[in-house]
Amino acid sequence: MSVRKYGKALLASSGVFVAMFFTNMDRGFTFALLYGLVPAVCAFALLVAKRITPLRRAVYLTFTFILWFGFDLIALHERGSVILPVNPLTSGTVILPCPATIPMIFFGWMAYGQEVFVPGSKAIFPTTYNLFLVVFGLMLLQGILLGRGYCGWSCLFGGFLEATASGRAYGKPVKPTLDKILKKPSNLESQKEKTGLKGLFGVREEVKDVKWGFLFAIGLISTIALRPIFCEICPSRVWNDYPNPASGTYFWLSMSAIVGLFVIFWFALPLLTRKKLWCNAICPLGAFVGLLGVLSPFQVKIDREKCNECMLCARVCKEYAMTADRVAGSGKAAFECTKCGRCIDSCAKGAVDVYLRGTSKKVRSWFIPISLIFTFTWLSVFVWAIVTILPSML
Amino acid sequence: MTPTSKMGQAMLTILVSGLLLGLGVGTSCVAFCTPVLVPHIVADHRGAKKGLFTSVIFSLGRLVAYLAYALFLCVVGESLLGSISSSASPVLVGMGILLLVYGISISYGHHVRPNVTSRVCSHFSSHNSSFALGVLMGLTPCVPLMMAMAYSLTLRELLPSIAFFIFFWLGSSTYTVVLGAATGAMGGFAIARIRVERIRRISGIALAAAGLLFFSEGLKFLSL
Repeated sequence: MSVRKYGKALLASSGVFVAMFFTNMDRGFTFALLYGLVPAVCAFALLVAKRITPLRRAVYLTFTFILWFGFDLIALHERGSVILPVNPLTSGTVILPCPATIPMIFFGWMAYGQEVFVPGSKAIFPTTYNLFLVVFGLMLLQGILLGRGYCGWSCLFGGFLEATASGRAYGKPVKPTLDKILKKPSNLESQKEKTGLKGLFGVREEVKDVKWGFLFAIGLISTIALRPIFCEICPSRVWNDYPNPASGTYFWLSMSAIVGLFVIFWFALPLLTRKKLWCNAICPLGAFVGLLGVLSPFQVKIDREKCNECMLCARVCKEYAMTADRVAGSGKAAFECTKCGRCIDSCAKGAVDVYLRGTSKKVRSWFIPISLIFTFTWLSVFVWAIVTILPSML
Repeated sequence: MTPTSKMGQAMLTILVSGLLLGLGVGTSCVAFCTPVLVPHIVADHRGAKKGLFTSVIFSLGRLVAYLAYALFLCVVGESLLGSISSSASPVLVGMGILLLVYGISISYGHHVRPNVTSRVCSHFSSHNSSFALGVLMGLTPCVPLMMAMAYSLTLRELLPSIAFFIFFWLGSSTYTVVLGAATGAMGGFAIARIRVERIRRISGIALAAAGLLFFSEGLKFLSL
């Protein structure tokens, strides 16, 4: 059994290596070889490890750090500033391959058949059509294959929330009690049961719908105004792309709103609740990849025969995707599931796993390598930027 | 050629110019109105016929605003064009606040103030509100409107100016009306799959988000 497991892991990690090697071949043999080895080792370790979470978190945090370091290095190199005290929509000199603008690109592309930003603003996103196609195609493919697995493995902001929301909330109700946000276990008769399951019924529909409203508005406005509207509320603006300080009141109000959003949703709420409310209820990018993920072949679900309804999976879920009523009901994780693997790790009975949608075939050994291929493909752009730009700047 | 036929030909040129300009830049007009019109129809006027009717009412609101501009252009002249950008800020801020109130009312209002919200929502779901939104959108200077105003300034007379704006409106409204009917039909389609309260909530959030954008744009203009 163990030999088979290691053999499978070796095979999968070899696949990851080959994919990464050929993807990076145009950057030179040495780079491709070295860069291909890292995800291959990660894939092997993740497939043989007893628990996915610690290693996935380490990879994710490193990914986020390197990505933003590379991103800011590109910004510094291309426009001379990370903060950019000029209007980035009209400067027309920046090349930032930011996947967060994808919803705007997508709807624009659907409507006009090409990337559609107003002259100059195109610089926010790829300036060449090939780069646009690569980023766009990669995002679509990842969304369709992994759904919100994107959010759990390669979201460019995810590492921050992963850090602030990490920590044990096991066995305790979510604190502070967020009655206005969380669903109430109103249908339960026993007060003891109500208290025991408090905070395990997920987020109220009214709150979860915020992300759909944002996606609707952003899709509409970006498509027709030809502007990447998401950038207006992008959390990375706390350290990137400030509005023009010359605009006075607007600058201060805009910065207050951005910093306020950042502090509330990225620090205060995750630290207090140990959950990712931003990802569950606010993020339009998550809603977009989730929509694509309707076609995803991967599904996290519970084997009903093994499950003893201890609710540990619901307690550890950071996304409110595995809830008490789902554990007792269909056993399938909700739309918001980012396939991070926490519920899989937490289950003492080994009842939770990644399945091929609609079947009882476990496909974790496919899901993890594919996720890593996407994660490291995104990262390769920024690692290459660091490798090429940093020496010339030092 | 007699003076009368010369005048007729000149008028015809003006009307055709207005219509062609409206048709030519109409997509930009639709682009500008879509964030307001689409969620408004999806929230409160689902169905192709209702959507069509609402977009016609909305367009009539825009016509009123255009006629007001035509009148002011003739009376005030070029100085109005100069002050348009400064007048854009209050209109944008006002529009933003209105959309914020509208959006929050239909999405979350009943959680906070159920009694007030039901009254506010009934006002917003009426055709008066479609008309008012149309007027405000018409007053908000966008690129096509600025082009029309610049052309209208060259006419220097009230009647040709009004005729030009009416035909400009006709041309630019074609897309709006089609968009309204299509959105209404899609809203009707969605209602068979998603609960009304959810559709209204999502539309409300979209309206509030559009309101925030208008508000921030207005503020940006104000600060510059």
